[in-house]
This record gives sequence, C-alpha cells and structure tokens, in this order.
Amino acid sequence: MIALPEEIKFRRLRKLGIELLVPVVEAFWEFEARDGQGRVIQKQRQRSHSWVRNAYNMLFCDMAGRNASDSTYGAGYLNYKDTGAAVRYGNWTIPWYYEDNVESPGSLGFHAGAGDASYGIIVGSGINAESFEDYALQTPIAHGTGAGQLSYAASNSPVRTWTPSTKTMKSELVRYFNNNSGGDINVNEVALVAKLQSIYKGLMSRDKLVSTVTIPNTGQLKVTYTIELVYPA
Amino acid sequence: MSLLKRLTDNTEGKRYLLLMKLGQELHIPIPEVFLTLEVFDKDGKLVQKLHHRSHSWVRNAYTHLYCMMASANAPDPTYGAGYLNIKRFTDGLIFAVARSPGWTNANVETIGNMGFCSGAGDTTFGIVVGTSSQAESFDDWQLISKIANGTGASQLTYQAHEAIVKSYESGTKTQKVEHKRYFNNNSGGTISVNEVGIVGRMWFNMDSNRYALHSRDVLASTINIPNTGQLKVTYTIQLTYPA
Repeated sequence: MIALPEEIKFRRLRKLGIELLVPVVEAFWEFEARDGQGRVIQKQRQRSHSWVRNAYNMLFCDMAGRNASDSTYGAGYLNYKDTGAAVRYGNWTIPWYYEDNVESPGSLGFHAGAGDASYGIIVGSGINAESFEDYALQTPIAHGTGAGQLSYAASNSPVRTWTPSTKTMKSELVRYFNNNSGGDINVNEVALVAKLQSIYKGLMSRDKLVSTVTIPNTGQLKVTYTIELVYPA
Repeated sequence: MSLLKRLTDNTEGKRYLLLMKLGQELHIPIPEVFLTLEVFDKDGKLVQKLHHRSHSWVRNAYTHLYCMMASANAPDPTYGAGYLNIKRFTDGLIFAVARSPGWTNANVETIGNMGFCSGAGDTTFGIVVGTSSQAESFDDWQLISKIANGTGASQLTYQAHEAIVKSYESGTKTQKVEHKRYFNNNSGGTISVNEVGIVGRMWFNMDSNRYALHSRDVLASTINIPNTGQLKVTYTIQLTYPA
C-alpha cells in the first residue's frame, strides 16, 4: 500500500536525481504471510521511509572520504550506534571493515545465517513511530519455537537484476520466518541491520508496518527488502 | 508556491533545491558535490576563481554507493550498464570479484592511505586535473588528458592533499567535508585546465591499488595558471540530514 501524494514526490525525486546525476537510493518492503497449508493469507507492500542516522553516516563517510571518528552520537557527529546502544567510532569509515563476500549468509553486510536474529532482516512487535534516531527494533521477536518466537531462516542469496528500459539496478533481499510457537504472532515493525567490523551490528533502516501482519501457528512470513538505484546511463 | 508548481519548476538551481528538499522530507540521502578552483599569481594574488556544482558522479561512484547500500558484491567482468565492478583510473583494467569494494578499515583522512587524500607528486588518486574539454560522460573512468606531475613543459607540481576540513551546519542539518589540493606551475609557461576529477584509492579484490574515478567535471570556463602561479582546487561533498 503506497500513498499516492507521497508517491508523486518520490517519482519527482527519482526523476530529478536522474536529470541532475545525483544518486537516489530507494527501498521497499514486501510482507507475505502464509498459513500452515501454504496459502497466502496476507500480503502488503510499502516503501521503506526510514534510513536512520547510522545509514546516513555510513553513506556520507564513504562518499566523502571521512572517518567516523566522533565519540558523541547525534546531529553533527559521525559514528554508528550499534543495536546494543554502544557508540562505535574510530579512524575508519563505517562499512564492512575488511573485504568480504557480502552476499554470503553469515558474512558482513545484510545476510545473516539461520537462527541469527541479531542482523539482516529482523522483525518485531513494537508499534512505536519510526524515528531517525532508531538504532534497534522497539520489541524484537526472538528466534526460537517458544511462545512469541519465530524461527529465523538464513537470508536467501540476494537476487540482483538490471532493467535496461528504466536503467534500474535492483537487489532483492529475502528472509523467511516460520512460526512454530503454538500461537499467532503479530509483526508490526521491521528492520535492516548490518554486520559491521566483524562483530558489531548497526541498524540501517526501521519501518513500522502500514498494518499488522499476523502469522498463524505453523505459518510462515516472507519478508522481501528491495533496494533500487536508477542510473543515468 | 503550490506543490504542483514546485514539482514542475525547471530551472536548474530550483531543481537542485527541490531535490534536496524532497530528499530531506522523504528520508532519502542526497549527496551533493561542489567544485571551487582558485588561481593565484606568483605574488599570491587571486587572479581567477570558478565555483560550480559537480554534476558528474560516474559509474564507479554509483557502483561504490550501490554495493554499500545494498550489501552487494561487484563480480561482473563487463563494464557498463547493468554491471557492477571497478574500472581502474590508471590503466582501464576492470576488477570484478564476489566482494564489496570500499575503504576497508583504513583511516581515510591520512595522506597516502585509502580514500581521496593522496600525497605529494601522486597523480594516481585524489584530486587530479587535465586539459581536455571533452564532454563529460557517465562512463568516464579517467581524465581525458591528465596533466602530469613535474616541472617540465605543461606539467604541474601536485602537492599533498591538505588536511580535510569538516563542518556541520546545524541550521540546514548539513554535514560537509572539504578536500583541497594545490598545484604549482613551474613549467615555464601558462597551463590551461579544463577538466578536474576526484579519484578514490579503494581496497578491492585483495589489493589496495584499485584507483577509481568517482567524478569528472569539465569546467564552465578554462582556468589558466600563469608560470610560477598556483591552482587551488576544493571539492566540497555534503549531505543534508533529516534531523
């Protein structure tokens, strides 16, 4: 569900980016819930509005060639706040720290392995409004089969596509969550968390869902995060 | 002014302003770059100045940005539309591997390290200048006619990058970095500069010498550096935050 007046602005933004040769990175979420028989019972798509401060700092440090060396977190400072609320800073830029295959589950980047709810695509039940200062989900859903838990599958290998007509590079990041908890589980928030510097986790985006997605017992949730960049040529 | 009017206004300055405003409102990061070139004569007197936007992030810069924001590798052996790799500034070689290009864990503000801050006499990365006025292309990976380092005819002495200048404007919520480099003309004649670029030294494919042109701009007008004069080039890279 994508609001139309807002969508007009996004389209204008994208068009301006192409005309002025300024990269405009867009992102979308898709949620698909299935019941125990594999039937789709709920599906929704929405824009990701919520690159957070960590993502802005990562982009700026990389594109501007600046270290993330400020010990204070907040407006005017460069660093990242990990999901444990510790501020990470030093004489380095934020990305992947050392060269890695960032498309392999368990590696640096967004592709977490099975059972790892600390990074990659993660989901939660919190309903707090999004904030640019978010560094963690409000109420993360833990990995497991106990009450209120979901089994986190390994991130799928990302699917990258190129559409020549629109000159759009697109990556789809997919993760499945299985509900063997014995009851329904409601998902209200979703986040994309990067594994950085080998061990730390930095939230890059947190979105509140347009409406609650309910996963029935023995059902499955598929979350797709699509990131797009339109090229000038 | 109405939303419709703002969305359809077509003067370039206003389009940039609208781009920034929409990016800030919609939480989409929009990096901007500005170029300033100043020429000083032998007495240190400013004799020419040019300031304009850099319009020309090139394909390597988009690859760098995309791989970072999408957590993507750059494994494609072909350079061009639809592919991810790095084409090297110094020789045009294409580097492609199932890894993500970047600065690794380097201190990018140290001269001669990863990043944009090159040392004295080094024309393989950092801010570089050339004589060609050939139109910019998104597929540029080199300067068309780079001016060599030296004191011979048509050569400039490339200084080490200055320490970068960092600032934050709280009113506009803008984070800003200035990269500066001086070029001295001891060639015996006037040297004309028509193109300027900024090249990153990247770590990729297990090697630190992956020099990638990030931006190439043809100047709005020729810059002439008199003999014994000096050129100062400033790249300002900025990002406006939503909060």
